[in-house]
Amino acid sequence: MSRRLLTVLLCCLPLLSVAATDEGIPLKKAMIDTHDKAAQWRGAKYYMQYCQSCHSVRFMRYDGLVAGLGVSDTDVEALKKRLEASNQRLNDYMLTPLDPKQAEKAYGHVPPDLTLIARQRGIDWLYTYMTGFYQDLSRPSGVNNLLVPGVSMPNIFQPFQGVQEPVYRQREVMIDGKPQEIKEISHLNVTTPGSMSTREFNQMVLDIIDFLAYTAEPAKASRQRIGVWVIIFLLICGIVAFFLKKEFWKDIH
Amino acid sequence: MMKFMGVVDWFSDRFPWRDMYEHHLSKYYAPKNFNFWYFFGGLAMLVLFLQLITGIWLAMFYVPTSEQAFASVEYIMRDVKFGWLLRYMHSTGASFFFIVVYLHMFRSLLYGSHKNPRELVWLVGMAMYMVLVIEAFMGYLLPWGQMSYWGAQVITSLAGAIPWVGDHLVLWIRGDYNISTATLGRFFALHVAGMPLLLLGLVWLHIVALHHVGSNNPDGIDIRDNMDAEGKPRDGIPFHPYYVVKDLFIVAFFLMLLVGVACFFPEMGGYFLEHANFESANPLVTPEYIAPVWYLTPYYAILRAVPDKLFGVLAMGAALLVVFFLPWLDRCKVRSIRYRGVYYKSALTLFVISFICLGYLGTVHVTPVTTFFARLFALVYFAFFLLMPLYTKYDRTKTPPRRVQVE
Repeated sequence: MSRRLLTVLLCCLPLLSVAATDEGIPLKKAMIDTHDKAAQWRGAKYYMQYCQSCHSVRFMRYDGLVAGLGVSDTDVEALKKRLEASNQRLNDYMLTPLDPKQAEKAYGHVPPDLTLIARQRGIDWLYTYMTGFYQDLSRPSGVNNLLVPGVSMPNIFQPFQGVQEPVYRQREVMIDGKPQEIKEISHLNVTTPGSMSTREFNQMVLDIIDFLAYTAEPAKASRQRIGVWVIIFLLICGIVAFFLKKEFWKDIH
Repeated sequence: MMKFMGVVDWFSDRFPWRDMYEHHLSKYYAPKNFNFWYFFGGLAMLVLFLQLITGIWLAMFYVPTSEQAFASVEYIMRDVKFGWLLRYMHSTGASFFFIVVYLHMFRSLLYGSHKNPRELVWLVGMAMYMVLVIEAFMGYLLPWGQMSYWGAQVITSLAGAIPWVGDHLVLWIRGDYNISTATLGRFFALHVAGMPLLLLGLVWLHIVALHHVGSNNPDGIDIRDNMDAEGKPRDGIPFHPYYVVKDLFIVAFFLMLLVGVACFFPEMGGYFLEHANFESANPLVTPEYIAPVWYLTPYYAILRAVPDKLFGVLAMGAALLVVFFLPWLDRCKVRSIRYRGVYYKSALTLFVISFICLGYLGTVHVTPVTTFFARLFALVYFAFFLLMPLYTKYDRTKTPPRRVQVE
């Protein structure tokens, strides 16, 4: 009985997907290795240099970061010196020096904290967003973003990536039953090269995303490591319990 | 050894632990033909125990104020030793609790466990389910993420649909005009003490009532109708040790699943931990769309399927309430689906399909297509219960065997 029911139910599953429709542009796949501690530390250094002036990582401490990523002693010493210069210590949270009131005046709102952004938006969203800035002189900042139209963040990546300009294409759509031509962005092109090649730039962005994926869940590596051992332990318990059950039940017919 | 037995005897003279042990374990005769569907009651107790243990430890570090709640959860995830494990076991445990409870309730629909003489067992079980829903809803506010906040905002506002007293009722529930520290404080108190105590009391009632009338089985026949010379059921075996060792094996397997999810897929694709909940609650920004966690979405879909707010709330309440009456709606002569006719089998299949589809529809954006399907499945949901007296009465049943069938 239950098997037949299950078959009927499984046959109904495809019906469900009919109702789901996703809007927005397709996301670019961020190919990162969340176990690559070297890449995450590279990303952390980029972050401290270029992002932290506006975006805090308020639940992450510097000492937790260097311990979690197994950073070398020389790098830790260098970080310590840099922090002392700005009156910070190694066991401080990774806050931003930006004054929220001034930020509100300059950008219209306070730049969000990014500790958990990778879990909230997903790494593909971040990759598409960070590589999706293009020149748009009608905007006050001079740039716009494919994923977040009307973005208020200026393109801090321009010196590395260069200037990206959109390539448009015509497409016919039906509006009120009449076919109409609309102009939309098909892709972005680097028109003025920056200090990095596209490959180098993408790698830098991916390193930063890898760092953000780490800060969003520093326990990820330990939960996966411990999970394997717990399951092996339970498997052994289960096998013992199975034979125990068989022994007890052998005279029940 | 002599000294130890002396201590045991001293207690035995003063406390009936031996009677209790015999009544509920070593001399409780359970049918020998229990199958897969009979594991979930015990597993529900195991999950309750896990939720209590992890919950107690989480409560040691959690701070129930609107300023501190979100940060304290992140503190648990990062700075508390094995805090992430406690938190993931608790959040995964919540979802597993509902999976186990839904399967446990479905077992009753399969084998007619709710029928005479087990109506009270069913009623207490349904009361537990309602308490569990409230417990889960209140627990979901505690992480103080965007979805926690707005989910609670939406669900508490439903009380406002009641005429005359609605607005006062909402204010009374929230303790404020919006979800705030006042709401968080009361939800926390009820989540960690009020509801769990109620749940434990109901578990005790559920088991005592069950053991008084005896367990049902996949054949839906009474093993107490067929006793041997010693007054023991011929088809019964003592719960301890037989079902204790069998459950031990199932527990190991179940914990593998639970730990597997907690350690490798704690978010479960956004169904167990919603992505929007990784952003701290912001009363000024409403999320794009608000959906409760998966285990409550069937009722949310019914709520949204009705165009009027008051009637939507009533429909949602009725959807929960009608399930209480199952023992009296079911007029079939036999209990088990093995001996029921094609009417009940088709009705149950349609019901399961609509419950799952309603659950899915409650998680997606509302479109004319989803509203149409939500109404259709809501209709099937209610028809399953309200037409039950008819189709179970006229169903063509088979005669159950006199002894249980062992597969």
